[in-house]
Amino acid sequence: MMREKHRYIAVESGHAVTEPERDDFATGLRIALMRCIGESNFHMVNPRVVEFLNDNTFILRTSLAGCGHVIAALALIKRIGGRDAYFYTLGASGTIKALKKKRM
Amino acid sequence: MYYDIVFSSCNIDGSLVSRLGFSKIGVIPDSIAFLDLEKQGVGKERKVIASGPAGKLISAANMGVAAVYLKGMEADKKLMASLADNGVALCISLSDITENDGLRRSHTIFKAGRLLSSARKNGVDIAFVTLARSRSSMCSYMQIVELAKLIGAEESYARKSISEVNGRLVV
Repeated sequence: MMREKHRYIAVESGHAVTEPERDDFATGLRIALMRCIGESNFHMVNPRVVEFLNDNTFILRTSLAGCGHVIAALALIKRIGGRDAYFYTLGASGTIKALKKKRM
Repeated sequence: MYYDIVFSSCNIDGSLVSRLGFSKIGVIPDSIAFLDLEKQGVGKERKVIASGPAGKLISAANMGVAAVYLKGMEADKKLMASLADNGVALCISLSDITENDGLRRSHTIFKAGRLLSSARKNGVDIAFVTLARSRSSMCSYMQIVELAKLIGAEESYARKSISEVNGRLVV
């Protein structure tokens, strides 16, 4: 079986996400991304928050093919879980290590 | 080298500019004048983005503005010809897309796509800019490229537009 290729995107959130809120935030973000990308394409993109670098910055994993969809969708999301939100993509890379190095 | 244009209400700082991947962000009205032709006429400012309906933008293009922002995004053949003849860029404001929601956003994407196609057929330079009025409407250069692709531009065209056309307006 071929291994799925991923892309990792560093994302800055407009508001701080504290540690206890992170699970709810990740779920809310997936729902918001699904709204923008569309249910039929969402399974191909499969975005997931894999790591928080700090309260405002996190790393999102997507499929290689769906990376562009996620970056565009992040510009369109303005609310998560009834709260105002906005996101900037800071960089994208094929590995978490390379992405962190790029951000340094 | 990527460039964007936003309004001064965004309160940008150098750190934000570099985090978003831009070399420079032009600020209206500090470095670029933004004229609403429905309220005022073209002055003698050096770099001007004129905003208004197609009819008024044709005369503004003839008077030498740097770029125009077409309200309503309705493609107009005479305006496109005038912009191409005078070498005036057409701004496509991505905050019009990001600030809307649902069907209205979908309609705006459709209109922006039609405007882009009409402008390219006529040889008009396109400036993909956010023209953001708040930080929540700002985008990184990667997001601008992807939004440009969403409305029908190829990646190479979008990148060239953000670096060269926007650069002419900002630098």
